[in-house]
Amino acid sequence: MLSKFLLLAGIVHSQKNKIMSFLSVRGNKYLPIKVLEGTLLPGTIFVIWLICSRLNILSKDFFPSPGDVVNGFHEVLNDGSFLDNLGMSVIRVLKGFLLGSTVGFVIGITLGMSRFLEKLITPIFNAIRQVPLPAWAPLLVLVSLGEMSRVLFIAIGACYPVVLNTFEGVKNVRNDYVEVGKVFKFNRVQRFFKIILPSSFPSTLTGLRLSLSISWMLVVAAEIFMTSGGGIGEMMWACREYSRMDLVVVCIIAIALVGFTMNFFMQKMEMFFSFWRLTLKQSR
Amino acid sequence: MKSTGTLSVTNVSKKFRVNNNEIHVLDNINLSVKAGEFISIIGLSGCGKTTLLRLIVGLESDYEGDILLDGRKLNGPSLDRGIVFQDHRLFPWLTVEKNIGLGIVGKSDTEKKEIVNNHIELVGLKGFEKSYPYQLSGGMSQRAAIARSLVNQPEILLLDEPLGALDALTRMYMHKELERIWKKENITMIMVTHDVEEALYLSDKIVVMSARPGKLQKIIPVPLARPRDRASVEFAEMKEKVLEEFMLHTEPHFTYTI
Amino acid sequence: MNTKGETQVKTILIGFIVPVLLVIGLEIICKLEIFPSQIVVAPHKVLITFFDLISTGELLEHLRISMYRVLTGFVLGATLGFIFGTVMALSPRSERIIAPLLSALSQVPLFGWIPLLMLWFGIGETFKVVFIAFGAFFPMLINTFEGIHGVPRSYLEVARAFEFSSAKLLHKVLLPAALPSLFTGIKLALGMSWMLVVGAELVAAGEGVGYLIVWGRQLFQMDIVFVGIAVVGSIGYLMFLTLNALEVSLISWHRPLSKK
Repeated sequence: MLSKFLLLAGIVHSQKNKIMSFLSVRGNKYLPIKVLEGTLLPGTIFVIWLICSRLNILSKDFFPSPGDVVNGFHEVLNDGSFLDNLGMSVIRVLKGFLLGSTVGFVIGITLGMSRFLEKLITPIFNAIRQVPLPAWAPLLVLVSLGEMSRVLFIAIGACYPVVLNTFEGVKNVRNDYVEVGKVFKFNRVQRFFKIILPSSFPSTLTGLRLSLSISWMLVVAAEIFMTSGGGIGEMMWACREYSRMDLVVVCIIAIALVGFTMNFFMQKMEMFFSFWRLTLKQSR
Repeated sequence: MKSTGTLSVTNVSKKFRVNNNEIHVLDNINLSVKAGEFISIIGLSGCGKTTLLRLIVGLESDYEGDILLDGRKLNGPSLDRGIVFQDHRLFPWLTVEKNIGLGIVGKSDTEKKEIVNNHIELVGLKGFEKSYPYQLSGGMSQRAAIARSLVNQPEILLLDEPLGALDALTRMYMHKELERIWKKENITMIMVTHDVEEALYLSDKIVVMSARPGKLQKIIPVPLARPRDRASVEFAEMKEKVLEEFMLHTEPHFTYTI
Repeated sequence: MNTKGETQVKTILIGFIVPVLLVIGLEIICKLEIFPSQIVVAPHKVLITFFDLISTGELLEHLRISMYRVLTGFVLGATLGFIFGTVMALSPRSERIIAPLLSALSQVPLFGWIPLLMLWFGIGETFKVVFIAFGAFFPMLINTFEGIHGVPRSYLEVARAFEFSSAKLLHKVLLPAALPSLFTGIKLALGMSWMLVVGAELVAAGEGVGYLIVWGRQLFQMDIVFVGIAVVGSIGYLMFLTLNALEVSLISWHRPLSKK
């Protein structure tokens, strides 16, 4: 046993340079150390957590051990309803997001293009926007549209960032570019499709990314405030009622992972579509 | 000889209103440009030279007097006048070839492609068709902008300090290029600049403007043979002559007033 | 001068067109009894309910309680966010140690914490304050960090050239340069707190404006629900306006991008 370990250590040592260069990203030779530093705090917490739960210092009802959480994952994955609920939430989010962002995009473009409509709509839009999002839930419950209530609830939150960012994007189209259009005698349609839309698109994408992450936050709220439609939020709520702390933690981790994945893809998409903005950042 | 591309500016004045104050930007400008001529407008900043250019392009309106192109009065921007801005103003979301093809109208796709290719060749950007503006150097961007402004075969090309943002060496190189393009396309060019050497190297006539209000101070013909030699005595003498207009020439003075 | 004032008045008046039409439309719809009164309620009834709730003192009591929760949670969360943000911005090592954990935690949608926090802290005041503090923490952290981290190098070089002490550096260079960003953080954190107090009161409370809305729903009284929504909206807006005014008066040298 010991000899095997020593052998392994020897191999590792002889390959040290290779391993180091594998770990370090191009030229950054301190990266492994930096990564280690990042795991220090979570690692410490994890170890304390492990020790405390082994020694039964913390009550299991409040602080499930890492093992409990792993078991919880096994339990819910075998059950099947967990993935169903997660899927329901994802679909619900996509519905609300699509509805809200489409409406938001149209409003944002309209307000950005027309001075009069901007003056007409902006005040009431801003007034409505001041209402904290959860406050809409009881109203939507009273209107009792079932699943539509939850989708609408998400759509309201999803709409705002898209409106604001699209509007901002359209308003900030550089007059220089508009003048180029004038020199080439562009008509309104050409001006919109050749200048305003592409130029404001990155800003719209930022809005869409924010919108999706708000939607994901709100789906959990929607499922807690407006129960009996299924979904990961409702499952979590039920686990709380049964004091299944381990399953609550499982749900939290799952929600975070899905949210992270969504955000990651949106970010990649944003970068992909706004690569031409590079100059601005590079020249700074 | 080309019959189109003559420009006449008669008694043109332009005022801006800022906070209920009238500011005279241009005062009684008279200028006539023959077809195929290269004219430089030179002056200190704030003398209204860019405004004059924008009036000719049609991006500014509400002026007094007449601006006639081939005898017709101008009415807003039109495809018979091209412009190159100081900041190239290429659309950053389009490739070089898409940018150059931006203004082409009423042509089939194959014709369009041919026109774009010809102009890419004209300005020497072969191999960069698919590049985006952020991948180009300042000089290359300005070449693309020149190509974009020429695709509709305008009768007159206006250049608003087109090389102002470039470094000195690139600028000298671009002077040659600009002269080549001007000769090849055989069109009228009017360039705004504040670089005396640049104006001397390129122009048939130099228009000197004074500031506040913008007035035409003097029109100096440049009778030097092309291609011009910056190091020649004649060139230096012409330079002195232009600089005299700005009281910047090298003769000794007891007092300097600028 | 006169024309400028006139156009401003005109702009404001145009903004009132839609709300006025909305009110008139709703009144007509209610008169014609197209929808049941539990779904659409006449604006004048909402107004009457509003004054009723004020005269009985109920509304103000609910508001006082919610305000107290928001302020405690906000102060707690924002202070912690500010401290962590400053430390992380000043020391790259501490950033490398703390940032991964915090960014992992911030991946959890805020409402996802509700069940966990309720199990840990019960349904009392602690739960609400912690929940609100959670929400206020992250925007404050990010904006403090970016504000201080984003101070232009050239300013730091000036400070080094004049041999500023670290205290002077923080006080004279870093904080003033980061102030606009700090204000953004405060605004976002307060807005978030206000949203979360309503959220927390919807699920677990016996008083507070969020509870008022739930209570209206349980009684099937749309007018109370609307009064609640309008009140939380207005208070949120007032807080935002106050902070904006404060920002303008404190950071006169900085021209916000949003206003041209």
